[in-house]
Amino acid sequence: MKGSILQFLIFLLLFLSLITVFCLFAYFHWFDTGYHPGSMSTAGFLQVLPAIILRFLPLSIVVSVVISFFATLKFRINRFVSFLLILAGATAIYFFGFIGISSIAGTARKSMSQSVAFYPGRINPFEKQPIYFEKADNDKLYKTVLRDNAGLVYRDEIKRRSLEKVILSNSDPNPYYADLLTPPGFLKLLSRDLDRFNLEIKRLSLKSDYYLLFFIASQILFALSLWSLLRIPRWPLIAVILSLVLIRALFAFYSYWDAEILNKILPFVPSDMVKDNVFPLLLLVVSLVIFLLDGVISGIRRSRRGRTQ
Amino acid sequence: MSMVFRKTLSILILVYLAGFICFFVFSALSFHGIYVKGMEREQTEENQYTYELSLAETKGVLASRAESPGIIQAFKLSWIINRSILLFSEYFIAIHLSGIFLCFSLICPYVSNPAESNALFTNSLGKSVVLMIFLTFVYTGMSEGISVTVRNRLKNQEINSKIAADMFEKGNAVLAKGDFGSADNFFSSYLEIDRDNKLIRNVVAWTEARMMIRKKNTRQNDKEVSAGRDLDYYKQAEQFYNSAHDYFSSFYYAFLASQTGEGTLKKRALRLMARSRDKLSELESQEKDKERHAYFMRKMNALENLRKGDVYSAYYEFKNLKEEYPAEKDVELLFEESRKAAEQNFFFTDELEKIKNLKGVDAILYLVKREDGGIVIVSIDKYIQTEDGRYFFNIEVMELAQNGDLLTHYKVPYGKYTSRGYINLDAIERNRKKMYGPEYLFGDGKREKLSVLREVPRPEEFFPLSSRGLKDSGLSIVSLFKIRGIAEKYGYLRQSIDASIISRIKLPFEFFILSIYAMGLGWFFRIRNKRIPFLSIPLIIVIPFVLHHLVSVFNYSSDQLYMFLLFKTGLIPALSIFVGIQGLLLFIALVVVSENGK
Repeated sequence: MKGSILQFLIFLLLFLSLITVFCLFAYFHWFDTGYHPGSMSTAGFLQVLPAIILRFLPLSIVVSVVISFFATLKFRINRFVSFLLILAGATAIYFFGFIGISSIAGTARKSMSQSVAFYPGRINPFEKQPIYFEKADNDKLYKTVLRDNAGLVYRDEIKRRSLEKVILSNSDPNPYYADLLTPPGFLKLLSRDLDRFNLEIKRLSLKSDYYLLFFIASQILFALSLWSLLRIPRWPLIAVILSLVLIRALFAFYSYWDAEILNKILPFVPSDMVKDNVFPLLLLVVSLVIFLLDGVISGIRRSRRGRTQ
Repeated sequence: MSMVFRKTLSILILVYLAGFICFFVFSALSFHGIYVKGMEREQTEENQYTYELSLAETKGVLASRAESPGIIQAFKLSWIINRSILLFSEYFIAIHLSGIFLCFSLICPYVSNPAESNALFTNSLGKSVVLMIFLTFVYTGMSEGISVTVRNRLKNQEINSKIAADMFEKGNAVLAKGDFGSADNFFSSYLEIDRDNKLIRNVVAWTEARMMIRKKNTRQNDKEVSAGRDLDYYKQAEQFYNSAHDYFSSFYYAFLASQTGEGTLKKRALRLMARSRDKLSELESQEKDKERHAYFMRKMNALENLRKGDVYSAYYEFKNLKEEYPAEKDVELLFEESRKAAEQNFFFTDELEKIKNLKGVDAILYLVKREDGGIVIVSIDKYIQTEDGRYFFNIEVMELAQNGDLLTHYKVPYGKYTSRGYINLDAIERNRKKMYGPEYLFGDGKREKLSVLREVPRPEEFFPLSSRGLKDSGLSIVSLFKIRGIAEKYGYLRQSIDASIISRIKLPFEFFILSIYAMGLGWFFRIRNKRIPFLSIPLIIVIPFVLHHLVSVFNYSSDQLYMFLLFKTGLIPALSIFVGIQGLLLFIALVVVSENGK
């Protein structure tokens, strides 16, 4: 029992650490890509914090649930109690957290306003149009020299917003530091998959709180079912690697499911309620199959041990 | 030497070796080569052979990416080795961490007695940390030395392959038109890159032979034509002498006949010249004086121009005089003098035309602050350095006043770096009287006699000021520090380079700290009994891939953090905080490791 409570506490600690780290790095990323110290105040960041937390909530919860399995390496744990504690605790945090933060995020700003820092008397080295200017105010840059495809172009003034619009709407990161700000391909794909996953959560939350609760519970149940798989390798390191691969696979699979499979099977789904919950149902079925297999394998092992004894 | 230390060392070496072999095989399979394919073909009409050439490509099974550039076959082995080294250094942290995990979580616990294993781990900890420090130095050397060199080598091979392919295509096109001279030039340029290409060597030898045959035939034809002409000249000279009594014309045609004719005809022509000269000398000397006077005046005028410094006019006047009076020794000497003077003040455009396809530094942009507070902004399309000199293409300059108002704006197609440290903007054509200089789009450019661009960067400073130079990953950390000063001096922001510097400095620290974490976590996640986890063995292959992604995310995240600190505080405070963070991470890593050993 004590071990199970410790495991739950580890889960909580992991979750809080992860969500904090994700939010902090989101702040750094926004700051670095916007790179205008004036527009990136902490108060401004706090306004968009709920939206950031919502974005990283599913990933943080699922990772924490899966990784908390490794507490079994240190503590004696009652599997059933742990299972119930984490299922209930994680679902509650996820569900109420989502509802609560959504209500704040609804009134808060969705994203930070970014503005570009232009440095007077310097060549501001944008990718294709380096720009020099003598002085600037909030609206305009004055006495500017641009280099475009035709060569050097002198203009008495340029509207600041027209340049910021080009730079900030560009999908590439801040061209000053493009090499350092380009996220690795792995992170880009994960981010894309997470966005899709979050859209589904949002869609269900708008339909019904019960749907949302069902989806959240199915995610936690699926994450808990992975514990059974992680016991198979008998080499904890491989289990850690496997858990990371499986978590990544969950979000990648959802993306694939949403883009390629869902529309093909929807016509064959009879009821609207099931139509809205196809993916949660799939997660539930997969989790139950894994639990069933785990039960059968454990039974066989126990009977083998009994025979050898 | 303790067992754990020995095992760690041998496993790491084995893992490195396996990693390198994998990358070597991968590089070999992803090689996209190009080569010249061709054969001699007999030409029926003249009973001579010609060449049918084309550029073929060979692709490894993994070289399916359309953007992969074709590399000439001569570079194949070198490219594969360089690419393997580059991939190995890029993935080195993941491979290294995989080795540590493998060692500390599987092999060491398996070979040791589980009851003693904690003691074994604790005893070997010191040596393992020393080994990690040593490997950190190896990694630093590899990432800052070898991989920078190898990356630049690969870049050069790609660029040279592109140039070689271009030279080949152009050479092949002019060869098809029968322009052996140009084909010879293009194929010779190709051979500068692919020296051992026997086929192209044969083609070059063949084009040279064809050129010689053509020259010989032309000379023969000229001779035949002149054999007919010299008799005509002589006849005309006789006619002018006897019938028209035009002794100047008879002298001129006799002179022509004497130049081209041979034997008796030449002797007769010379005699006729002498007779015409005699007759001319009998005439009034006024005509002769006029011509000599005009010649003398032109010579004096050109000399005067040369002395005044108008070498451009002097050069072309002496050039014309030399062509008109090839026998005049003093004209030849003065022409040479004017040419030398011209070369000091101008440069010839053919010097640039020859090299314009060579690899250079593209898209240079910089600004210079003048002492009077004004600003000069310079944009250069291309800079090429050869043994003969340093040349620039399409220079554009804007001069701004202290308050930012535009003073002048001009463009110039060519420039040459002079030993005095400025760029000469005046180019002339060698054979045609044409001068290239600044074309003013705004402002008045007639303030200086000669167009030069002063306050220019040193030759080695142009690359950092190009679009590629400021963010080139193929630069060592020492170069980044040098570039930092250059960038600031010539109008760029220092922060973008500072960010790269921090990002590079952190790599060895990350390598060492992650190694210590890997030791601790590897031991924490070790196998707990003496049974081999057969089911897990095939999954070992997944470890480096997962670790590579994790390391890249870690690396990216730390870049975000340090950039944030840099923008908030500046380089020195950010570096100080960076050292503090590394210290904290190392402390936690050592705590994790020592806790595991208990």
